Amino acid sequence: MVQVDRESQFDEPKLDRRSLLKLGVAGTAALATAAPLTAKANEGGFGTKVHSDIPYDVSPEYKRFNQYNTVFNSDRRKGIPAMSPIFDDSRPGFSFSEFALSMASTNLWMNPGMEMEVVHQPRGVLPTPYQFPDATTAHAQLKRAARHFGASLVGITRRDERWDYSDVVIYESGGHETLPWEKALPDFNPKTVIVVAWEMDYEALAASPSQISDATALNAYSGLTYILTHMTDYLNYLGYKAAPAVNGLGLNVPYAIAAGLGEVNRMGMLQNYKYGPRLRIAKIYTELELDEYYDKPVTFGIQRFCENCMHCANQCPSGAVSHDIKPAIYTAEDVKDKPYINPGIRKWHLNGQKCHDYWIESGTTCATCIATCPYNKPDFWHHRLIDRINTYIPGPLHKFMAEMDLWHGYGNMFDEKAPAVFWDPKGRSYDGLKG
Amino acid sequence: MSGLAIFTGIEVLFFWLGVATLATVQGLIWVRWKKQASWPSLALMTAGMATILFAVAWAVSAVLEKEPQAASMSMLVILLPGLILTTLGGRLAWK
Repeated sequence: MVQVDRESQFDEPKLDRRSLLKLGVAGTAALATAAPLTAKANEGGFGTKVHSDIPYDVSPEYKRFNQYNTVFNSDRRKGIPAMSPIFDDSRPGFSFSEFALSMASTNLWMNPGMEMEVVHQPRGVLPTPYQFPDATTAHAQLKRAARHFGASLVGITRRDERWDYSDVVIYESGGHETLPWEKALPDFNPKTVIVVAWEMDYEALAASPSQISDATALNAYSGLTYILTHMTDYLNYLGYKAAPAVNGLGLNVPYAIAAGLGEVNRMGMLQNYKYGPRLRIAKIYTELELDEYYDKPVTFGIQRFCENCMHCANQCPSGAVSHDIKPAIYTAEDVKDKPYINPGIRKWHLNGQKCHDYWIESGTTCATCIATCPYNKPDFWHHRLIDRINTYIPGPLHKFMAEMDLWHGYGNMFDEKAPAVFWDPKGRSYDGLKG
Repeated sequence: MSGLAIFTGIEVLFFWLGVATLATVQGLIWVRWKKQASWPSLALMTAGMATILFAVAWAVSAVLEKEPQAASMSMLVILLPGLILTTLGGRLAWK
């Protein structure tokens, strides 16, 4: 017969060390298993405004841009290449080793594992496309997959025909053909655009304009190509059609803004909260639909900051970046001799022709404007603090902050010592022995 | 830039900032108890010491990111006002 100690049965439970440990382990396990998939579409953060649509005025006259009119295409028709890299062993940043680094960085971009800017078909492993349990899971898993393949940032937005080229230029065996978007990608009706970004190296970009800064930009394109090919294959395995495009098929910046990756800056580029403009972006169109579960555009004060800063405009060696205080909407009349500018949206307009002319003249892809931007900083706590402060302070103080940035030694371009900093082996821990 | 080949420079920095902050708080308590320092002087010293700690954090971070000019500027722009505030507070406390 089992005797029950009635007194001890009603004792208060004692929380000794062993019980505490058990409770801790059990509690952690319960939390880990019970926690739902909490990945959320971008809802912004402290000091960040979330918008339902792209937060810039688009005039009713706005028309889809024709890829035929980009500076690269118009110059190509004149026999001017996209890039004209040079080497000169007497100039820091232009040695033959640096030239080789830059050229090698294009490898994957120039030789992708699958064709870009065409529709890739489902693999046919499943009889019908895979159905995620819900849009939240689909959103979270697509983003995790992109990060798995190396994306620094990833945002997901609806396909918006406004940002697709009206006509796509296809180069084949020496000639070229311009086709309307819908004809260039027949039987393809994408619902979703996944925008991915690749961080460029801070120290390499600080050496701009040089072959070292080119190397990081071109390496970013190769990296993006790697992500796009793998993500396209991932979507194809899931049973969805997908079309990868680094710079083709549509406009990267508005898609990235729509996908909540940042704002547009004075240079007309994407300004991300974490990386500033030190990014290259690409996108994948897919038929997969996420119901209403898409990222939303965000703003965090970049326009006000750009109105007061002017570093990029002041440092631009070709004068391509606008000095206008406020962004403006251009009309068709304003750009009649500048077909490479698409009118009808409020922004600062870059003179792409001047910019590309300097690329060819300097033998680099320049990037001075990106490197000098006060938001282009290495990932350190004090820069994140300043960025956060900039979100709140009024306009005139932005001028002061931009000035202080120069005083602190940031944003000085054409710095002949920068290539040495890039190559310096000190503190790199190549053998992984040091922290 | 690492501590014992285990920690990153930033981790080491924030560890020592924690130690320095604790020492600062203990120092301020000591000044209040032993020297009967007035509250205005304590406020000045607290503001000054906090500014100095911030300057140290900034300068070391700037060195770690290989921007020595930023470290020098932080000494000038942040450390100097911190020293002035602390000195003023100290002189008030020791009056």
